[in-house]
Amino acid sequence: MTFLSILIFLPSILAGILIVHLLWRERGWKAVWVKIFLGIGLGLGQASLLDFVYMLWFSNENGFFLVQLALSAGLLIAVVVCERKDLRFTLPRVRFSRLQIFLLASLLIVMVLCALSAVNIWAREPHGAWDAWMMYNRAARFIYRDQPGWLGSFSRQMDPIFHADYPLQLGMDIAWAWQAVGQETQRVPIVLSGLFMLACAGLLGAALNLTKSLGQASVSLLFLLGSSLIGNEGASQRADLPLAYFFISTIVLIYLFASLRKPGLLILAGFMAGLAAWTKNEGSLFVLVALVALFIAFIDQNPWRVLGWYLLGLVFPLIIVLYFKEFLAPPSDVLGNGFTRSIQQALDLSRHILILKSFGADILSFGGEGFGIIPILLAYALIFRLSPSSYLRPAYLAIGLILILQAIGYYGIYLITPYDLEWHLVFSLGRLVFQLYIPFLFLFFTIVTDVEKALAVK
Amino acid sequence: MASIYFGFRNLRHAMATGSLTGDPVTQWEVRFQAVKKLLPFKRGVVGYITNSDVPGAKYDPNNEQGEYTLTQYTMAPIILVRGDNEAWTIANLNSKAFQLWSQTNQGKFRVMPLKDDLYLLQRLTP
Repeated sequence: MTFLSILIFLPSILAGILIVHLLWRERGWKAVWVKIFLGIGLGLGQASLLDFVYMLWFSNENGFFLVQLALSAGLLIAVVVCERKDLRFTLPRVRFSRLQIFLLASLLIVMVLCALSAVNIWAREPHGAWDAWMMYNRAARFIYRDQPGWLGSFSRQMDPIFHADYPLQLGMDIAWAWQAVGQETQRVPIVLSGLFMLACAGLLGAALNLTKSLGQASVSLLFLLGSSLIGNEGASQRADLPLAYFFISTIVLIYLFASLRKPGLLILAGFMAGLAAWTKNEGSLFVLVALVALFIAFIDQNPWRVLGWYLLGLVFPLIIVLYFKEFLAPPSDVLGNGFTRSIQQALDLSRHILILKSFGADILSFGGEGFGIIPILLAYALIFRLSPSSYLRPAYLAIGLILILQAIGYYGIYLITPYDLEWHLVFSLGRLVFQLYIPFLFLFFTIVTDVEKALAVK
Repeated sequence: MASIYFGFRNLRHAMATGSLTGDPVTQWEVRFQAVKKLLPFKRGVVGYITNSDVPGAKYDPNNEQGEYTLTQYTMAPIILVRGDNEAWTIANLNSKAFQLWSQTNQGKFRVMPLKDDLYLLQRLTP
C-alpha cells in the first residue's frame, strides 16, 4: 500500500516538474535538481487546487486521477515538442574535493538518522499529531467519506475548534489519493508528508548547490536535518512543513529571478506563494508580504512589471483561495474578536512584552534544548564571514523583508488573538518560527562565504 | 559531529513518542465502530454528551476536549455538536454518570447501550 500511495502521486509530480521546466528552460544537472524539488511541491499543489475545482463540478465521480494522468501526458508532449531539437541527455561529470566527500558522508549519516526518526514517528502515530488528524486528516475524511455531500465539511454547525476555515491543500490531496487508491489508508497522508519533507530539504540543498556550492548545500542540510526539526515536524503530518516548503520555494524563485532575470521564475514564485495561502492561513499573509517586499526590493528595476509577473502566477491559486474563503469556509476564529477589542488588546503593553519575550526565547532556543541553532549560526557567520554579491542586493532585500514582515504579521496576530495569549504562544509559536527557519537558512547560506572558499583561504 | 549527535538524540526522542502497538487514535476508532453501525444515517448532525454534561458527575477536564475531537475525527462525515438536542446523541458516560443522567431523562430517549461506556440515544420527545 505504501508503494501504491507513492505511485498515485507520481503523475502529479511529473506534471509539476514539467510546468517548472516550461517556465524556466535552464539546462544543466544542477538546475534539473532544483526543478525536481520545485516540481514535487508544485505538482502536489496543482493537484489539490484542480481537485477542488473537480469536486465542485463532479463530486459524484472518481476520475480525478485520470485528470492528473492526462495533464502529465499533455505536458510531456508539450515539453517534447518544445525541446525536440535540443533533446539530449549527458550525464554530469562530478569530481568531489576531500572536504566535499567528508561533508557528504556526514550528511548521509544525518539523513539516515533523520529518516529513521520520521519512520518511527509514522509507525507510532500513523494518524499524525493532534492538529494533523483534528484538522487536515479530518477534512480529508469528510471529503472522501461523503463525496456528494463534501461541502458539509464547512458547515457552520462544525465546532470552531476543528478549524473548518483552514485551506484545503493537504485535505484535497489526501482525499483524491484515497479515491484513486480505492481505500482510506493512513499510508497516503504519511507519503504526502514524506514527499514534502523530501522536497523541502531537497530544494534547500539543490538551490544552494546551484547558486553557491556543493559544500555550502551540504552544510545547510546538516543544519536542517541535524536538528531533526524537519524529521519530527514533517512526520507529524501537520501543515507547517508544507507551508515552510512553499515559503522557501517562493524565496528561492525570487532569488533566481534576481540572478537570471527570467520572468517565468517570478510567475512560478507567484504560484508557489498562492499555494502557501492554499495550505494555511499564514500563507495569505505571506502572499501580501511577498508582494510588498518585491515592490520595495525591485523599486528601481521596473517594479510594476515584476509585480505583474508575480501576480500572473498568483492569480489561479488566489481565485481558489478567495472562492473557498468567501463562499464555503466558516469565519476564522483568530479574527473573531471584533475591531474594538482588537484595538484594546493591541494597546495593552503587557501583551507586547509577553510576545517579545516569547519570540526572543523561542528564537534563541529554537531547535535545541536550552541552546538553539540561531546562536550557532551566528558563530558560524563570524568564523566563515559574510560575502554577499552586490548584484544580488534586490534578492537579499526581498527575502529579508519577507521574513521580517511575516514575523511582524505573526506578532500582530498574537496581539489580537481571541485566545488566552500565553496558551496561544506556547501552542503555536515554535511552529511559526519553524516556518520561517527554513527560508532563513537559505538566505543565510547565500550570504555566508562558501565553505570550500573559506577553508581554502584559511 | 554536532549534527550527528543531535540526529541520534532526535531519533531517541522519536522512539519515545507514543507506542508501536497502542496508537490511541486507532483504539478510539475501534471503540466507536458499533456506534457507526447503529446510526441510521451516514451524514448529518449528531449530539454528543459526556460526564461533564451531567450535573453531579465527576469528570477529567483534561480529557474532555481530546475525547470530543477524537470522536469527531472518528465519526466523520457526521458532524458532532455538544449537547443532546439532536434527534440522535452519542453519550460517552461512565456507569455512574449514566445513572445520574437517566434519573433526569426518563422517557425522553430510547437508549441503546454499547460496550466501553458508550450509549446511543434516540430522542423520543421533540
